[in-house]
Amino acid sequence: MRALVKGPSHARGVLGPLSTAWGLVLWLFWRSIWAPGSIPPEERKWAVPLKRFALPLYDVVLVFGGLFAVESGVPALTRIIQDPLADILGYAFTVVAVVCLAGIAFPKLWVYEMIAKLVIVFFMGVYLFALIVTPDSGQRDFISAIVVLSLILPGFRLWIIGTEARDRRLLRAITTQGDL
Amino acid sequence: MTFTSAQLIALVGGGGLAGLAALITAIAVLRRDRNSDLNQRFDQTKALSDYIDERVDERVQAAVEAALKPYIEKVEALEKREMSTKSILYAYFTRLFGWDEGGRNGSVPVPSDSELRTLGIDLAAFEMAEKQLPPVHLFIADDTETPTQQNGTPA
Repeated sequence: MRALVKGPSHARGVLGPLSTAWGLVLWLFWRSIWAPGSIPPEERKWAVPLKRFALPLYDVVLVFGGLFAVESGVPALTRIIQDPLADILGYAFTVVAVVCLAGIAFPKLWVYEMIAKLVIVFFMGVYLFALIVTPDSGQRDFISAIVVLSLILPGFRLWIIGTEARDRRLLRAITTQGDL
Repeated sequence: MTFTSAQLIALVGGGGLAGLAALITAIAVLRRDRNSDLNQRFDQTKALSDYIDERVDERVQAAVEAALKPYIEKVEALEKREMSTKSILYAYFTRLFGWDEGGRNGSVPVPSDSELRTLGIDLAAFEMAEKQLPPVHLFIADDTETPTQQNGTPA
């Protein structure tokens, strides 16, 4: 469904654009969600604010969240697991968040984004249930609700990814059958 | 490796939520949206291509049959002729062995003119051969020839 995004002539080719820093930037830009034509006109009303602003910002916040988790620790997690493991989880969260950000920025990486978003949901779920099972859970209800809130956008994104995958599949079926 | 109950609850809960998200994705992939333009195009294209497939199959079958018809007839004729060739040769060899075992009385049996014609042997070639025999004497060794020296020059 996505319109084919092609760069200007000086940003095309195999090695040409990558030979200079500016060429690399342009090469990346014309493949990103912010390039003109990367969002079909009929989807512009919803897709532009979501894909170009909300979802990337969400993933940026996720990356910083992972870094904060490593730096400051996560009390709810360190109550149920040892500290080094919590740190490893924080690093993993950061890496997965970076993959998410790359996926929303470059639509061709949608498969990796889908996997990474599922992992993020898993991490968030682990955190949510760690909040719930802590002894002082009565004081943690509000933050639990906030965590559930933070799960809505990944779920929404996964839904969109699924719909786009279906459209891609249908379109491929139509074009291959049209060839006869 | 053992888990505490809190760890298990957190793991299972997180896994369950991830499973729910995966389910959402899978439903989005598999769901058929009847109102979608793309789905309608898919259905129409599928129906059209099925129809065209059927028609093309019929036409191709007819065309191939028509194109192959002369060749099939030729092959059938060749098979029939092969059979007649075999029967002619079988009868001829039977006669030949009979002639041999009976003491070779009379001349060698020869296939009839019609049999030779069926075998594709030109009778005119035999008539030519009767008139102009090949120089058989050249190929028969004759010891009475002039002796030659070892180096091949005449003595």
